[in-house]
This record gives sequence, structure tokens and C-alpha cells, in this order.
Amino acid sequence: MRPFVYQRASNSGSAVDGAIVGSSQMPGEGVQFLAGGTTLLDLMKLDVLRPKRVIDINDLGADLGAVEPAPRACGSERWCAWPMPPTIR
Amino acid sequence: MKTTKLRPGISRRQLLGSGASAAAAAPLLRTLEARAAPLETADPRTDQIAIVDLTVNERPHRLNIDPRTTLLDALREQLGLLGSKKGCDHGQCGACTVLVHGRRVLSCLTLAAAVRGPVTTIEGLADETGELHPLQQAFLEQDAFQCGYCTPGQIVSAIGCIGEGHAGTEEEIRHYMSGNLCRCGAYPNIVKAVRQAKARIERS
Repeated sequence: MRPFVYQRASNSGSAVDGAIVGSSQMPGEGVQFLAGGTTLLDLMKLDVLRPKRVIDINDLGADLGAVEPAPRACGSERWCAWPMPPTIR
Repeated sequence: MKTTKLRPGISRRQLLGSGASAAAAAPLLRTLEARAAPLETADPRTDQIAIVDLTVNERPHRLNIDPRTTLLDALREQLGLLGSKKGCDHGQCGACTVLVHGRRVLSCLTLAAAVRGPVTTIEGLADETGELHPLQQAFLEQDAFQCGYCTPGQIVSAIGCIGEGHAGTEEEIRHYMSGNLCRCGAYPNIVKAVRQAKARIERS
């Protein structure tokens, strides 16, 4: 994995500011947001993604942490038939 | 706000010894507070040491680590907790599963610096008298492993599976334990062990 600057964002504004600063320093794929990370970290280990700055947005739960119920959120019948929390149908 | 700074009192030798990468020989050593505000001028090519507070199995630790360090590597290489296993290191096998705040996570795909909340590993399951956790006991009694490499991940994952309320039927256990691979193929006995432990946990 290539070196990166790790940054924790305390609110949406600081996350966006960090991304803007990061992008201006290194345009392109320079900035990635880290939430769960299972795809991001995997691809960084494989050298597919090479962010210079990783902005951790896990403290943004108040802004981004909710799952909104929506009709037919899934496109596949089989997926929808799986056991899901009642808020997702 | 610029928060990078030289951390006094740490020699280069200590930094190298604490597991920083070979790039620690770079002329400028900087530190990065893991919970810090934006680092406008930080340069990823220069080394940074993240100061990370981790509570593992109810013990607090402060680590000075490369921000790239995964939770799995921190547990194994910094804290010497070798129970959590590195199988694929890509989140496919589940051998590295640990609990953070009681929820199962793949420690190989979690940055140590990004961990919030207490970590529980296989080493933290038995009580202080050495009595095994019901799941550990059930794995022994049901012969739920052969080589044992996947077992710490299986047991920790099974705690999550039962805690989430997804251990109702054999089919459900198989589904919600599907992130933990066992190349010896001990699945039938793993399912039996989870069912046995669930019954015991619910009785107690």
C-alpha cells in the first residue's frame, strides 16, 4: 500500500474541505473517503487505488448514518427476498 | 490548522523499533494525531506516525504506527495478539474477524487509526479464571475444526452471528457465517457448535 495522509473529518464541511485541499494538491485520484473500507483498503492493497489522502468519514453518522426506507431499493427479486431490516424493503 | 509536529522524546531507533516502515529513515519525521483536524500541508511521501489509542480486551494501548497499519497487523505485530489470523488479507476468508463495539469486523480491512470503540479478540473471550466462552467450549465439544486456522475468526464471528439474532436455524447460521471460510470443511460441526452455544448462552 502506498503512503497516504490519514485525516478524520468531524463534520461534512471538514470532509469536503479536506477533499478540496487534497484535490488541489494532487488532482485526479488523490483523495478517497473512508467509510467501511472493505473495498477501499482492498483496492489500495492491490495498488489499484493510490490515494494520497484518506478522509475518514465515520464520525459523520449524524449527517450520513441513516438508511432511508425507499420503495424497491433493490433491483433483484432474489436480493430483496433475503432477510433484511424492516426499514429496507 | 496545521497539526503535524515533531514529537519530542522519540528517537529514530524507537520509531523504527515500533514498526515504522523502512521509509522512517527520511530526514523529516512527522507525527500525525489520529484524531486531528485537517493536515493541509501534510505530505504522504514523508513519514507520518499515527498515535492511536486502542482498547483491546479491556486493556488500553497507545500505539505509534504508520497510518497504513491495519487493525490486524496492529494486533499481531504491535500487541503480540496472534490469535486473530491473517488468511487472505483481502477480506475474503474471515480468519481475521474481531469485534469492535461488539460488532464483527474484518480487521485486515480496517485501519487501526480508524477504529472507534473497544476491540475484542479471541484472546479476550475466556474469563479471568480461564473458563472458556460457551462458543469456545462448543467448538471443542463438537469437534468444529481440523487445522484450526480459521477457528478464531469462526468463533468471534459466531458471537456476532448469535448476538445479531441470526442463529435461528441451520440455514440461517450457514448464511450469516458465510464470510468465514474453512478449507478443512468443518462446516457441519461448526454449525452444530453455534447451535449448541446459542442454546447455552440463552439459558444462562
